[in-house]
Amino acid sequence: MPISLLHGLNALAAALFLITTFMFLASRQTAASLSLYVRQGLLLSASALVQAYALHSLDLLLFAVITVIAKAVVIPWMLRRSLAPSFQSRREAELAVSVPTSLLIAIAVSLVAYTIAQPLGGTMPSFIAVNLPVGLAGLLISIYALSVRREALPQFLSLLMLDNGVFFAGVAIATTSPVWELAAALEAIIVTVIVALLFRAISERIGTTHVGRLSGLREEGSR
Amino acid sequence: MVTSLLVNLLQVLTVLLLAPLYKGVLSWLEETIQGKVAASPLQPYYDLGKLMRKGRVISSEASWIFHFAPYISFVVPIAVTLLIPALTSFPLFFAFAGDMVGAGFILGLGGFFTALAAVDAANPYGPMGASRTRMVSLLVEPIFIIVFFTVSFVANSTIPYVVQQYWVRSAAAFFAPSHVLLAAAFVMIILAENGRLPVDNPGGHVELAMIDESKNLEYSGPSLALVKWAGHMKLMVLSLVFLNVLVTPWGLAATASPLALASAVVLVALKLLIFAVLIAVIETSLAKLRLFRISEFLGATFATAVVAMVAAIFHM
Repeated sequence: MPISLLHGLNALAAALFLITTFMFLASRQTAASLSLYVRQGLLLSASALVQAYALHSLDLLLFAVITVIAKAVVIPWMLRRSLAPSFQSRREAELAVSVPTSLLIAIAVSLVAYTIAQPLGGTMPSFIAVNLPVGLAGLLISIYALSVRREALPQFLSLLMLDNGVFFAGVAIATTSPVWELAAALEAIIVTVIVALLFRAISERIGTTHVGRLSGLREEGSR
Repeated sequence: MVTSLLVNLLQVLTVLLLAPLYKGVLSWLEETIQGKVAASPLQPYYDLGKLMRKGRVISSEASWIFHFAPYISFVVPIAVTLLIPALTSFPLFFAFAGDMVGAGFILGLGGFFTALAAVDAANPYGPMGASRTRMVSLLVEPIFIIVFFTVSFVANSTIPYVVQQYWVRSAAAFFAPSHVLLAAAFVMIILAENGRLPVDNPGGHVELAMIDESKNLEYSGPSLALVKWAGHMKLMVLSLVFLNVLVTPWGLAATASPLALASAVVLVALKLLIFAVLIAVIETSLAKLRLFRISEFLGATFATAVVAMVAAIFHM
C-alpha cells in the first residue's frame, strides 16, 4: 500500500474520532454514550493498526489488539453488567450547558488544539501531525464534557473518553515503547471495575448517582 | 456556442422531467422497505397531471404574492440547474453566470417567497410552518457556506464545474477525511432542506407538526402542482450537486455528442438511484426529531462540516 493512502486512512480515522467526540458531547442517553465510547475505541485501534502497518511496529499491533479487547468488549460488558438499570433507562441526562452551545465551544476548543499542535507536528504529512491535534482536542473536549455532566456514570464515561484522547496522541508519539501503553490499556479495565462497584454501592444505598445531590446527608429512618 | 446552449437546455429538461420520477422512486423504495404496499414510482406524474386539470381555490386575504410565489419557486431550481454540472463535465453556456454561492442565493430567494406566501393566505398554520422552515434554513445556511468554501479552498474556485475537476481525483482523495465528512454533512443538509425524515416527516400532513409541507398548505390546483414539482426538482438538484460535484464526479459526458449525453443520462440516473436507496435506508432507520432537537441535529452537522474544513486545511 502506498504511504499516502496509509496517511489518508489514518487521517480518516482521526476525523471520525473527532466526530465521535462531538457526538459524545451531544449525547444525552447513557447507552448512546457508551456505544460512542466503543466506537471511539475501535477508531483508536484502527489508527494504531494503520501505523503498525506503516512502521512495522509489533508494539503498536499489540496495542491495537489490547485496545479492541479492553475498550470494545471488556469495559462495556462490565459496565452493562454491573449498572444495567442506568443503561436500560431511556431517561435523558441533565446537562449544565445546552447542546448547541457546547458544540460551538467544542469547535473552538478543537481549533485551539490544532493551533497549539501545528508547530509541534511539523509541516510534512506525518502521523504525528494528524494524531497530536486530534488527540489533544479529544482530551480537551472530554474535560469539558466531564464538567457539564451532572451524574456520576456519564462523568465516568467522559473520563474514559479523555483516556482515549491521550492514547490517540500517544500512539503517534511513542511508537516503540510498549510498557506504558500496555499497562495503561489494562489500567482502564481495573479502574472500571472499581468505579462500577462503587457506583453500584452508592446507587443501592442512595438511589441516585446525581453528583449534585450527593452532598447532603440522607435523613435517617426515611428508608 | 449553440451546442453548449442546447446541452444546457437539455440538462434543464432532464431535471424537469425526471424529478417527479426520482421522488416517486424514493417514496416507492421507502414504502417497500417499510413493508407497505407501495404506490407506483410514476405516482407523482399522475398527481401532477390531476392537479393541473383541477381548478383552484384562493383565500380572499391573498395578495399578488400568493399568486406569484408558485412561479418563483418553480423557476428557482431550473435556474440553479443552468449553473451546475448535471450531465456534462465541461462548462456549459451559463456555467460562469453564477457560482455555488450564487446558486445558494437563488435557492434562498425561492424559500423567501414561499415563506411570504404561507403568511399571505391568513391561515394560522401557514406562518407557523413558515417560521419553522425559516428556522431550519437559517441553521442550514452556515453549513452550506462552510461546505462550499472548503471545496473552493481546495479547488481555488467557487464555480461548480471547476470544483468538480479538482475535488475528487484519486482513490486516496475519495477516502480523505475532509471528503468523507463533507459528504456526510451534505447528506444531512439535503435531508434537512427537503423536509426529509429526522427533521420533518415527508409523509405527514398534520398541521401542528408540519415543517416543509406548510409551504403548499394553502395552494390548490395548478399552483399546488407547480409548488410540488418545484419541491421534487429541488431535491433532485441538491442530489445532483452532491453526486456530480462533491462525491462521485464520474460518468459525466466529456463531449457534446448525442451518444455521450445519452450514456451520461443513464449513468446519472443510476447514481441517483443508488443515492435514493441510501436516503430511503437512512429515513427508514430514523425517527422524527422533536422541533427543539432539530437545532442539535444541525449543530452536529455544523460540527461535522467544520471538522471537514479543519481537516482540509491542516491535514493536506
